Amino acid sequence: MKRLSTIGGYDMLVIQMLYTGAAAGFIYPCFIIRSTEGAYWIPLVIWAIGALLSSWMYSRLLARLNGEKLLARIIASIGVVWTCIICLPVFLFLFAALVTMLRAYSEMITMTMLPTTPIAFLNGMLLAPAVLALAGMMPIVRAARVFFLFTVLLTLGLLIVGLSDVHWTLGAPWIRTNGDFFYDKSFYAGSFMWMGFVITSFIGPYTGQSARRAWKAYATAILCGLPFIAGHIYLPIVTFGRELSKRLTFPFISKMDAISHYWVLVENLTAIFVSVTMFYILVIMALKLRAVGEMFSGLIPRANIRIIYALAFLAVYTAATLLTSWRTVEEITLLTIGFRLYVMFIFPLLGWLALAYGQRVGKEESL
Amino acid sequence: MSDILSSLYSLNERQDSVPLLDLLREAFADSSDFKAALVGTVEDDELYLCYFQSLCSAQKLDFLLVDDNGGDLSFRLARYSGAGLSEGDFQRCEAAVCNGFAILCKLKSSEGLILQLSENQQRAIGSPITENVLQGPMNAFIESLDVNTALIRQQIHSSKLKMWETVIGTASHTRVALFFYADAIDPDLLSQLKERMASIRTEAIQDSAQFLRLLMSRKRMHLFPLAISTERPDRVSMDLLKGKAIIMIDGSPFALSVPSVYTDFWHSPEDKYVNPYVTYFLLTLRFMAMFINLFLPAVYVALTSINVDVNRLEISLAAAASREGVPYPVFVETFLMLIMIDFITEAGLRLPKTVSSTVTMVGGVVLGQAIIQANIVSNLLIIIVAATAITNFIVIDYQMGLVQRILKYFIVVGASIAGLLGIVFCFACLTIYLSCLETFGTPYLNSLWPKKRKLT
Repeated sequence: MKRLSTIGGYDMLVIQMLYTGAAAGFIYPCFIIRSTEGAYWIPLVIWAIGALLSSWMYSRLLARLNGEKLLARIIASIGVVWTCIICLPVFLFLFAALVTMLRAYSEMITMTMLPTTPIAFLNGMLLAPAVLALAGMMPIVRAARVFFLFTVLLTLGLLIVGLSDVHWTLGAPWIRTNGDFFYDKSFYAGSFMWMGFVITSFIGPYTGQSARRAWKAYATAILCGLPFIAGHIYLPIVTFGRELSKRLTFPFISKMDAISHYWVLVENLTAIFVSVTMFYILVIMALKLRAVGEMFSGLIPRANIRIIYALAFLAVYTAATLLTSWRTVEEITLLTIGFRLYVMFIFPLLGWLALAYGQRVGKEESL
Repeated sequence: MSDILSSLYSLNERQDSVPLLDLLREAFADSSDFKAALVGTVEDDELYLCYFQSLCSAQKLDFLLVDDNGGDLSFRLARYSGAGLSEGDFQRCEAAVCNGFAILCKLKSSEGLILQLSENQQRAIGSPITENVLQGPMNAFIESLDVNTALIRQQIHSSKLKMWETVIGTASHTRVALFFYADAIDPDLLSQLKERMASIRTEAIQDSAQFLRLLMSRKRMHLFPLAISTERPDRVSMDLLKGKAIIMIDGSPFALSVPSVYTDFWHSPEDKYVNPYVTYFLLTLRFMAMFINLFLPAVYVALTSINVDVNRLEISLAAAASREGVPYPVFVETFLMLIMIDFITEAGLRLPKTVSSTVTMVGGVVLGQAIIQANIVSNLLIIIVAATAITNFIVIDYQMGLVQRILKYFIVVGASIAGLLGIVFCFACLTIYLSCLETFGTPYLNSLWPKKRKLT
């Protein structure tokens, strides 16, 4: 790109909404449904507040970058070794997030639409995000804008159609909660849903103004995305009831399967849902690969950018293909809770401290 | 004309150099239309007129070649009515002869007088041939750059309309003009274009599309057209005011509008002339046609072979019934029919207009009917293919239409591999490819709606 790539507020909103779509549909609802016996919107709102807090911490950190990239600034402040140490969990989180997202989606395709197609073939779809990630952030944004037009309308349509055949009493209790979800690891496993801002923070340069704009866009995306996320959780509940929904691998897909209206042109709405999800998945995987690529190109500036993305593609593809079952995907999501909590809440503090240390050293040297 | 006579007297006669006449005769030795005619004598030295018979105007040559005044040279020269008169050495004279000028020189002079006696062979201004005008100016560009420049200047009567010109082609010496509107153009784009045009090294240019390829040669080959090619002056003037640059070459009736983004190819100049609501409706119609053209055959393949359960049972049963007796898989059947319809389209385009309608009729109706009766393809597929062909003709830009014709095959392949998901993946890949494209520094997927420029 010859021109300076600047992501506007709308672009950030689009990306964060796509992130919501990529994470909310298949693996997230079962975690939240299993996490509590009380009202489901309460853990949602708690996580939304947590996400806003985390993104605010990141935005304060990004505001100090003065047009530089996050990792480059941290390296300049504390050196490569310390940067590698504090960024290792971030890298592990991104890698695990990529592998689980790819594998989970392939698994969903196998279970719903293409039962005989090998997982290794389906995982090959990663090639498109890898190419997009290599092209740069602005191509990702442009592709996201186009996909957003289709996906939001279709997802909204699916959610509205999903309101049929529901029994609202099955959603009770609507207000009561005893805070049991705090003691359930499924509640923490769902943290990946709220990490959109974290990923974009590792891509591109930021200034005080752009950091504020990004945070506002993210806050708006959370507000707009909450009904979508709640729809993915509550629609299976109010259709099948709590007990049955807990036992379903993909509660929302089962809900889509259950819809049948003579005026809906297609018989199988699951196919539409899975197809729409592909748009979300491709953009978000490109975004995550871009973050991985930028991380490595920051740590190893001399490395060939094409080789970095090729290696990232191969590593993610191999790992996703080697995962044996859906249960393994769930276990990985549970095992990486610590990484995600570190990336959400501890890394911005460490980054802030690193930048403050770098500034102090700089002042001392100038004196 | 006493000026010509006095200039003739002062023509340089260097003893050490080869005379211009000999050099010109040698240079144009095997050109039968090159003439070096003796027209008279000046100071006991023979005076020759050298020219290409095919390029000079016979009427304009009459003043010197027709001797109806008793051989008085000064009287004949006085009848010269051409604009401009200049002296030139061999290089200048050689280039001038190639451009239709005539050279007046003495037998031993090393320089000659260049006379404007050229006659451009060009057709009259008519209506656009490749773009139908439904509303708006009916004139179209022709092969003369000067006439085309006049047509553009007749649309924009402003001193801010600028024109930069260069000559490209070591053999063709083709004039290439770059038009821009001073207040609207991006200076970076302008300098980039001038730099690229100046760096082009080629033997000859015949058409503006060929010139575009040369402009983009530093980049890898692109599937999508990166500049709109138009023969309508009204479209050109609109684009100029939008801040685009227009490239025209002498000898081609097509102007290139750069940079052109994806959505530009879906706008017609008529969109500005009709009711805005109608424009939105037409735009929606065009985008719908694009999707139908790209995806309808692929959806047929997906829904009848891989994702049979997605469709309503009644439609699935109807599709299965229509395919009863067809011996080939859906993919082969669809591919066969798509190829067939492309044959018919291509034949219709290439054949003379009087025959093309017959071919289309024979191909479309007779062949279609026969192919169903022979149980080679299903009835449903005929509807699908016909709809696909019709929607392809809705594409405004010819080059974009060609790209769509190619792309639908790839999407059919995607559908035959992974059904609906294959289609979605192909569409995603297409969008990803488009989002990576840039046309002269502008993203190809710039915006879906054109931005309005503030008038100052």
